[in-house]
Amino acid sequence: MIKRIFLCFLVIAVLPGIIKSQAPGYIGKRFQVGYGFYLSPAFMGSTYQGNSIFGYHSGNANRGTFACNTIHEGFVEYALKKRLMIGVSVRYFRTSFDNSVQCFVYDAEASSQGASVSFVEFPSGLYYITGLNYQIYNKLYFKKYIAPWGRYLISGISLRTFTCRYNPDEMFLSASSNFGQYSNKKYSDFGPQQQKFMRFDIMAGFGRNRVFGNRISVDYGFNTGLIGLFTSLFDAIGPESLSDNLYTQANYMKKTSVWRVRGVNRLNAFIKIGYLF
Amino acid sequence: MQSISSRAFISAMMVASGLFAQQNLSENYVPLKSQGTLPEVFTQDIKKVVKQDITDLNKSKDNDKNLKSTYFTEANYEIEKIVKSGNTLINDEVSLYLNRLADVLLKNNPTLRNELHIYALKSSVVNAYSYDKGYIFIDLGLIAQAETEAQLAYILSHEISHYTKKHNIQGYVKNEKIDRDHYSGKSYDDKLLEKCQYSKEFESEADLEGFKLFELSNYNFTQAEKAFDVLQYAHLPFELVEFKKSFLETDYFKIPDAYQLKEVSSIKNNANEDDSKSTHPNTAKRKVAIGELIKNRNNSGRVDYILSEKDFMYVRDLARFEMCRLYLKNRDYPNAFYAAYILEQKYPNNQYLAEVISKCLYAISLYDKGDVRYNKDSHLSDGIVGHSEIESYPQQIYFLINKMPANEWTIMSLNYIYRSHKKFPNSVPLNAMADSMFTLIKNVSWGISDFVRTDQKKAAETVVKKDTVVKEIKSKTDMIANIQQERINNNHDTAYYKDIYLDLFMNDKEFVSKFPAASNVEFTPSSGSGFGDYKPSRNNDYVKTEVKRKKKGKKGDNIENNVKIEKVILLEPFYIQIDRAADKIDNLSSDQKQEKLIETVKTIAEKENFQTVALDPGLLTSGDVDKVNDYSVLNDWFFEKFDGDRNSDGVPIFNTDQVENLVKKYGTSYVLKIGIISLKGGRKRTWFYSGIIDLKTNKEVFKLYEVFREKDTRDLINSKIYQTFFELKHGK
Repeated sequence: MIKRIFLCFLVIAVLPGIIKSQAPGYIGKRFQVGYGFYLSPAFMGSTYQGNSIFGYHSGNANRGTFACNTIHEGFVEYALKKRLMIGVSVRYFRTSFDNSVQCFVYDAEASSQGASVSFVEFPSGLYYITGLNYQIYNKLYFKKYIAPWGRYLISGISLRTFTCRYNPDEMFLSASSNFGQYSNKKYSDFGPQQQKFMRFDIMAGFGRNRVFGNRISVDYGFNTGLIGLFTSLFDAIGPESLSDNLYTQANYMKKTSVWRVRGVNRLNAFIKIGYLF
Repeated sequence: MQSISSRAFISAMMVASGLFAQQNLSENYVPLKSQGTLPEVFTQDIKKVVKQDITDLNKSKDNDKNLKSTYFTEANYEIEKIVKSGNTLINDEVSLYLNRLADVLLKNNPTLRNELHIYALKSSVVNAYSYDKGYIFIDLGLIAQAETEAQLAYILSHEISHYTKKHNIQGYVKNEKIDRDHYSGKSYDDKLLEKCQYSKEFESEADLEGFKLFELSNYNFTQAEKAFDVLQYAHLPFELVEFKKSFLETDYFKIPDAYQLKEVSSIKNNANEDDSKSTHPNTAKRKVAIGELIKNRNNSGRVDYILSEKDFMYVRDLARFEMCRLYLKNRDYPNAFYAAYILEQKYPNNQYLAEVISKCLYAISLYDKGDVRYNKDSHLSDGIVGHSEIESYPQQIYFLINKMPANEWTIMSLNYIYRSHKKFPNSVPLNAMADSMFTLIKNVSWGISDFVRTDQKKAAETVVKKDTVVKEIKSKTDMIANIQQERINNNHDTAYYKDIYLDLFMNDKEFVSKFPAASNVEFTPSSGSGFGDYKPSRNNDYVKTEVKRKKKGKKGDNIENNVKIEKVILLEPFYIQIDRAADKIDNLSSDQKQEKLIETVKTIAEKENFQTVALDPGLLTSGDVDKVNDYSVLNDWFFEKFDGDRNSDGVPIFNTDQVENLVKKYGTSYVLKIGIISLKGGRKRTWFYSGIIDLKTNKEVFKLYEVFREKDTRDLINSKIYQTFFELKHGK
């Protein structure tokens, strides 16, 4: 449903503009297609390879290594007006979560047998996230510049779809030795091993387009997800602070993956290569 | 290189073919134009010339190779800039005359003669310039001041000596060495004094060497000495004659004596002024040095004229006519008026002079109303100065301008201009100006009820009737109204100009029909010329446009009007790259970038199916002399326009009537100018300008002026040029 609304918005808002536009473009070239490469330093979170620059003490990433998450993008842009460009893009990213958030475990089976087994613990290992961001955005060029050349501000909306995967042999919780017969029992059921989620964000940033040989566009700048940016303060002290702090095996991936995906998209430096026509 | 014989042959052929049949100055004057084949400097690849010069330099043993190599680059570009500026006259009557003078001086030295390229420069400055490449430029201002052929010959000898002694390159090297000497502890003033000292030594040497060359001909020695007097008084007009107010009077119009300055100031003698900070020795020293040479020489049998006195006088008059035009171009109306007044004494029936004087009168009327203003960068930014700042007889014109109230000046101007129009009915500018004056006078509140239109007796009766109408005084306000009416009537009685148009009202139907009535009937100018388009009223389109522009400006919008244009005359795009570190223009880089810019402009214009007619001295072939003249006309037009206040769109351009022919010839009245200035080294900046002026309306209809805090990258330039053409074609 959300995807349909997104497509409707694209058709209603953009196509009439394309038909009626009198934008000069770059020497008449208004379309741009290309590839973008985004880099997001993994200061606290971890990369798909499980590395982190600082990391959390409680997490399972390899800390102290230079690590960056990378995002790859394909985009199509069109100069709608002299200083306005619109575009759609798809970004592919992958990352991991280092399980630096404690999970509450309540063993219902044990409880039915009269034992009380509940504890809070950090899951072992990592789980992996791959995602696609669908963006619709506009680039508003500063006065004096003409799309697609010059300095600009970018803003738009982003639909994030991402899939979390975990390996139960790697990611689990262990009861402590205090629980008698349940001591050292492994709790590895975090729901389906592949879970899909979707979120919105507001994209903003700034950049600079250069054109070489009247055909090749090089675009560089910074990009951020505004929701991710505003929640960064809370994220810094952990996702628990955002809502109810009860992280169970059932909701663990749902809650923490959102946090992690925001982190990956929070502040990215990018460079894009485009072809003008 | 042409030999003397071939050069003489070409000149002879030009004269024989009637190309240079002398103008009949007693009737009219046609501004000087270049003729014939363009010289090599127009078609040569300057980069190759510079490269060759530097290669030759490197073969020689020289300690200042670096400095000299910079000199060759700068000098070549400077020469090219001057020759292609539109101000250099090629193969015209004056330049050919100067070359004939050089033939006389160098008749025994054909090698040297062949190295020289001598041109007249359309400039009112009294000066001459010599370059090491053999290029000598003589300002028309200097020719206009010269008294004899021999004086001009001596000045030319002096310039030739600068060339033979290589003073230009030596001066450059010495100046650069002085500038680069950072460790001597010398102040700026010390360095200036040192530079001036070298320069003075070169000038003195050129004086003496020039005299040796001059001596080889049969010219009168004393004229060499007198040439310095000409230079000393170069700040004064070319002749000093009393300006009589009767010049502007008629039987029905007498200017009050109070407007005539009877005693004029004496002329200051500055021959012995302090020359320590001057590049030239003072004239007293120079005269003494030449006097020493003359006193031991036999001057008998020597003459003031070798070519011919008639030819000299004719060429000098051409230069003097040009001075009128050049002063007008500079919006220096008092000097243009005075120059034309002097020539009018000799040529009283010359149409061109009547046009120049009419233009001055009209322009001063507009100036008095505040409609002609000067750019703050203009040399006349203070406007028309008071008479006390002027010397001798020209004071009288300045006195009249400043003393006569604006309304009276306008009334007097219409009188002169209309009568000139009747005298020269075929003159388009006079016809147009007369029409414009009618429009202008409609808005003058001259403080009288009307001019005398019938005859003196009837007019007097009318006045008496008006005077005798006495209101019945019922209140204080009635009393005041009555007093004011009496004062108006009294003014009418005493106004010296009330009869000014009497004969015209009585005998000239055209004047009667055009003269604005007391009612507010709109007057429609009959002429389609730019003069008639001017609307001086404060409630007119010109003012409205100005207000609109200001409002747009607040939004930061650079486009003045949303015009759609498909064809333009494209003036030479300019590209100036300034090297901040060296604090000078990087000529080579500028030239290369300019070539690319021209190519880009051409490509993008073609892509947009935009018609451009290039008037670019950089793209000429040897047969394109017409384009050189057209370029010169446009350059003059632009100079005059931008010397005025930038907000004075629509104020008439007085100098170039020929611009209308260009509009017809090229099929468009729009002129596009594109230019880029960039700084390299340190903080980077790029200025981009593109603008279109409509020659018909004299308004800037499109303007894109932007400053970027970045390098002059290709994408920046391409984008802005494309934007220019796109918005011109499709509107904003």
